[in-house]
Amino acid sequence: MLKFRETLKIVVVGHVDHGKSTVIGRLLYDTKSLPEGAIEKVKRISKETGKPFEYAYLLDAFEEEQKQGITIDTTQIQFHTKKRDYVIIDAPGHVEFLKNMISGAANAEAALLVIDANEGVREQSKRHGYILSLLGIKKVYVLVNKMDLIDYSEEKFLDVKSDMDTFLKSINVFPQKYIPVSAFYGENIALRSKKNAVV
Amino acid sequence: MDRLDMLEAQSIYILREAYKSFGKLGMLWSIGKDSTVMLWLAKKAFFGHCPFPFIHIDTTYKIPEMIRFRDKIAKEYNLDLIVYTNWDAINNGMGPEKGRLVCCKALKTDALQHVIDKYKFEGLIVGVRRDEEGSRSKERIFSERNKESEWNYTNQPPELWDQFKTDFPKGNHIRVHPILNWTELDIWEYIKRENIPVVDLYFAKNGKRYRSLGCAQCTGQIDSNASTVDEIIEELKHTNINERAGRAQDKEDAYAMQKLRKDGYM
Ligand SMILES: Nc1nc2c(ncn2[C@@H]2O[C@H](COP(=O)(O)OP(=O)(O)OP(=O)(O)O)[C@@H](O)[C@H]2O)c(=O)[nH]1
Ligand SMILES: [Mg+2]
Repeated sequence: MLKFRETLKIVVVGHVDHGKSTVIGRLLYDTKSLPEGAIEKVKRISKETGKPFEYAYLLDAFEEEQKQGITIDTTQIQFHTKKRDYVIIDAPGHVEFLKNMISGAANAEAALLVIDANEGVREQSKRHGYILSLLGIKKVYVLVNKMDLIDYSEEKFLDVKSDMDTFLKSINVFPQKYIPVSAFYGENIALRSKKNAVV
Repeated sequence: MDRLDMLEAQSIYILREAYKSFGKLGMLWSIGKDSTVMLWLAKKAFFGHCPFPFIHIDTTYKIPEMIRFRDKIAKEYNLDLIVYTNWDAINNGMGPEKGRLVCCKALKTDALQHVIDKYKFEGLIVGVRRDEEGSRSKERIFSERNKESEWNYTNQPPELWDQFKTDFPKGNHIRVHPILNWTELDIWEYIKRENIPVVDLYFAKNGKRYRSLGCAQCTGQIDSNASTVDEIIEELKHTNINERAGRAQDKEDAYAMQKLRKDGYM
């Protein structure tokens, strides 16, 4: 008999370049969920174009996305843990592609809202938060990303958290948790980080 | 709800929406496992009788077992089957040795375009899946193509919940993707659950089997001892090798499939 397994659909949202696709790419990498050759392909592309290696390319499949270093359209991938199955939905952060972000978010039951620790709360951080509330997505986790760029400073993390929390409260979004991460270096992505005392 | 039940329900909903929305609708049937599952879903959606034609784009380079399987199933299921070959191209010497992508374009994309023009299709149901390759991972369930079958992939319309874009200028058509969210493993688990007949080429003989089917010259076998559906499911649960590893198309350059599909390839 087929066993019943729960599926959870999670969308990753936030301002352009704050690291949404990198979060997903790194999660797939660290959990060995990638097909053979996927990382090698990204390495080959980086070498050919002379650009640094990007986990985001695992999601940003279009040539235009890789050349411009941004996500244009949403995609979904399957992800499995012992506990349940997940559908992880990548959404673009550029304001021009808001319709694609909404197309992705409309399917979700939970969300990760990614904020660049160095840049702090930006226009699409807020707008995406607002869209989550419109769509009735209540389970929201805020990832404060690129902690490596601010030397894993707890103080700055708490500043970003307080900024975002003030805004989210005003639109009736109450995140489950704020998590400091470094997506690129895999800190607090698949494994709990030893660098962040703040978790 | 069980995952397969959920996927099945969604696919059936999409098929019925497509039937409701388009005057002239057809389904591409490549004889492979995915479109054979789709054919099964269509029979379920319309209570045993599929109310639209099936289209096989025959490049003449298909593996002979595929053609035998096609004819057998078409007869058993009493399908309205359109088989089309781009004979002009073949007679002018088109084949894989001219270059794989050139050949795919002529014998598949152009052939499909001829069929669309001839029968004036408004909707074409295609069995692509997100997990196959990059450009498919970014598809919509209802995906518009212009008169030349081109895909404007950098500016796709929104697709919210189960609201699909079904209006489009005359001459354009919509590619409908009912199994977009299925994975390869879902396909095999469904084949097992429903006991769906598939072509023998998928089952290992002498340590080799086809994991993905295409034209003989451009599709390789993988090393495998999986000779039953159960063994294939077990194999897939433990492999990390890409499904299309045996397909030459994807190896040409990093964006080969994107380019082919932009021009109307399935
Ligand atoms: N230093 C550092 N850089 C990061 C981190 N996470 C992402 N980046 C970099 O930030 C840039 C943008 O990352 P993406 O993942 O493409 O950002 P995104 O949010 O998906 O961007 P859009 O989808 O276009 O909105 C890339 O160059 C990443 O390598 C991090 O934790 N630390
Ligand atoms: Mg991105």
